[in-house]
Amino acid sequence: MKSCVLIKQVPDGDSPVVIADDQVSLKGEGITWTTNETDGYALEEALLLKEAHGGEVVVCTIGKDSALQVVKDALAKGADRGIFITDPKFDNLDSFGKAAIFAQVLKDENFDLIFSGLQSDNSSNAQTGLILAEFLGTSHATMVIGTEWIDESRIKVNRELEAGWFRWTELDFPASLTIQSGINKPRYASLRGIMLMKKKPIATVTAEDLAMDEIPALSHIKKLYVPRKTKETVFISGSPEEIVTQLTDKLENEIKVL
Amino acid sequence: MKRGGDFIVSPVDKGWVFSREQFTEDHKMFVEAVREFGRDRVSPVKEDLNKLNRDLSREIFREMGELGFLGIDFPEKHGGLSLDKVTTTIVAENLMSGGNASLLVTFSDHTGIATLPIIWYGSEEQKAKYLPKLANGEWMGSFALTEPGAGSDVMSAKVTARLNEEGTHYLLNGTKIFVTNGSWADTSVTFAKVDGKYTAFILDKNCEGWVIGPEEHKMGIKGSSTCTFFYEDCKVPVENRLGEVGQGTAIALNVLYTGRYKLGATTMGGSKYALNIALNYAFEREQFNRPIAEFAMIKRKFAQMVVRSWEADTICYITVGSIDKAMENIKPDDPDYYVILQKIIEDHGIEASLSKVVASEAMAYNIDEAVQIFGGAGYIEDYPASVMYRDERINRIFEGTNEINRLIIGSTTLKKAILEEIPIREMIGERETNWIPELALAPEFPLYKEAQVIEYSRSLLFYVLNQLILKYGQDLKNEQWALEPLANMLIALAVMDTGFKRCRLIPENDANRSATEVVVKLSVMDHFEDLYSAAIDLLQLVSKGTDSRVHLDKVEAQKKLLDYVPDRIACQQTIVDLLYRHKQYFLD
Repeated sequence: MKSCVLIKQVPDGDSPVVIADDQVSLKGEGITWTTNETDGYALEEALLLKEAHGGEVVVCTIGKDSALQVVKDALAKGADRGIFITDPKFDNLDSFGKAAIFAQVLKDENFDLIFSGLQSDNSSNAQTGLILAEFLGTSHATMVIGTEWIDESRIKVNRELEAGWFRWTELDFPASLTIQSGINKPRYASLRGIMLMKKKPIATVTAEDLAMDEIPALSHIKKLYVPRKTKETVFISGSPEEIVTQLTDKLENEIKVL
Repeated sequence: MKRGGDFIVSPVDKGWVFSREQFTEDHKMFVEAVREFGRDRVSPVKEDLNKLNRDLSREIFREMGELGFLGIDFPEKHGGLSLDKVTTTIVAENLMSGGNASLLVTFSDHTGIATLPIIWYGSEEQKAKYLPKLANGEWMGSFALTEPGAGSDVMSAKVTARLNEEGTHYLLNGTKIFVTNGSWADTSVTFAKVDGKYTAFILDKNCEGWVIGPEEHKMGIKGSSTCTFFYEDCKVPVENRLGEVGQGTAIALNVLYTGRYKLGATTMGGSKYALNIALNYAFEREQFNRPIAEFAMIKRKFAQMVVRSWEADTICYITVGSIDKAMENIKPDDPDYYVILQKIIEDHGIEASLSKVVASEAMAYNIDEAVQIFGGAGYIEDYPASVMYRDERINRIFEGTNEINRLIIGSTTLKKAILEEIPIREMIGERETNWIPELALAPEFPLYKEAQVIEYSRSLLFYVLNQLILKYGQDLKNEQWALEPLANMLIALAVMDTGFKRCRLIPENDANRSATEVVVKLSVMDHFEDLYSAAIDLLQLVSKGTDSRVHLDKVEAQKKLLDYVPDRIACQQTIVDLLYRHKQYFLD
């Protein structure tokens, strides 16, 4: 079985969020970068399936130079090789554009399974794995919280639905699965794993390597801003009648809920 | 630097030191891997690990073994990784991200004194039998040396071992106390006198007569096991004798050097952890409508805490970096590998003790200030400061008290001077007339004045050392009134000198360079005062009965030439501004 895990580098949750001068990206200064949490679960699921049924696990990311680290981290944890897609032209892409690039890079690899985290911690779109399935014409399942190997051509997955409901589904290979956190217990990198990492191949792919004249985009970030807290408390005073009059006036005309 | 004691004789414009800025890619990934384990695996259960919890401790210990954290020093042939000493320091330092000192004690005891004797002195059979399981965490080790009447005074030990009539077993009798990992350990390296000759043995659970006493009730590190061992005709197979009869003292002393620099690593990590915990609290806790972090008295504390942590970091990494540098051309499969390694570690005895003293005292300083910053909450068990306060205290006691380590720093320097292992005598002569030598630094170098202060300090140390040698000769090693202040001068010089050298090696365009320069300025201010004051005390001591003014006038006249006018508060303000911007210790 041949699996690919899509991994994204995201700012650590404790990092200071400072918007860059271009107003569409974050300032790198002071940010600690890390692997997107659900991608870590996706990697672990791929590694567990490989350990049980053999095959190869390839990790792939799109990102700036620093994102190479998440590929290395995954290799240190047991993935077999990496694909690092990087080019200034690939900065600030939407999910559609990223999925298009992934499809271009991965189409000839003929993966049986493509794993990705349910969503990224920074943009939270939860779309890339799905759009990629569409581009590659594979089956797909989202919010996967369990997997069960059937045979060389099929897998059973448990999907988390709303209100505490779950549903087991069978999928034919090739398939794209987006993985929910909690599906497994991600491993830590061992010291030996880190030492072996250096011997594993990482292929770098740039815009020039891809026969893509234009990266498609369906959405554009116009401006990033930090939500402003506009909490305000107004005290209404007077007799009970006066208070009621003022309150209903505010509810009707200011807040407009009546 | 790759010779022990080199910092004493190499001026600041010469000499190489290792620091974390020179970490390889592997080292950097080790840091992250261990921090992740500490943060995600240990920290969530750190309260549970503060109580004696054998199952949980052993479970995490086993996981550490699987990740390779326990086998760094072990040969690859026997399940280890045979990695450098920088890596051992990285792992010990960063496990503190889990915030639990008890687990660190269990870990350090195992990876240091409990297993190194087998790695260094074990026969092939002993290594094959014990090392793989000790490396992967299936077994836990211990080291039983201290006796009711024999602590640092190893030779007054009473435990005996005699061969049985069949010649198959040694029968051990006597008591060992304060054994870390005591009731959890599967093996123990212990010591007993065979016909009066101090000898090492490996005990395991098959040894009849190895009786483990109840747990000690300790002031801190309550989640680690500490017991008394009673040997009641304890039957140890002859093949479990470690090394030769009579080699016990050498084994014990040599592994203790390692225990010291390893303790430096954990306490250096602890000093940063305490700083970060206190910093979070200072931003949360509000008084007079603002976080207490905004008050200058709190800011001053944090500035000093940053400097203490950075100094400990510097000393710990120059020590292991220097050992690794000295070992770089020796292959692990060299039959003399461990013999050479021990010689090199012994040669770094001063640095090993410096690591222990500087880092454990940095941690003590930071935790004491952390309790103060927590205020009343620092005294309440529900907050983290009080447990840190109790846990910290042992670090200035075990692995040789800080007093014993000061004796080692002073007396080893004396020994190296007399044996001319490092050119101290030559430097004494050279500096007699040239207190502040010309330096290969541009006068506009931002730390030029500090460089001169450090070189003056070096000359002052040589001047004082010369007076001490003239007065006491070799008996100086027995004069504790003199040795302690001398050790304090050496500690102050080591911190200033290696800090300067480390800073100078940081590229000028590195984001941390300018911040580090300010840290060095403040560090030099603090330690120059310590060094100068110890020098005056010593000159008064050697002048007893004569006029001390001859010495004091000379020292003061040279000091005046420095024209050193430091601005302490400005440095503290700069450091704390940077700390508050990063919201955590920021010089890693």
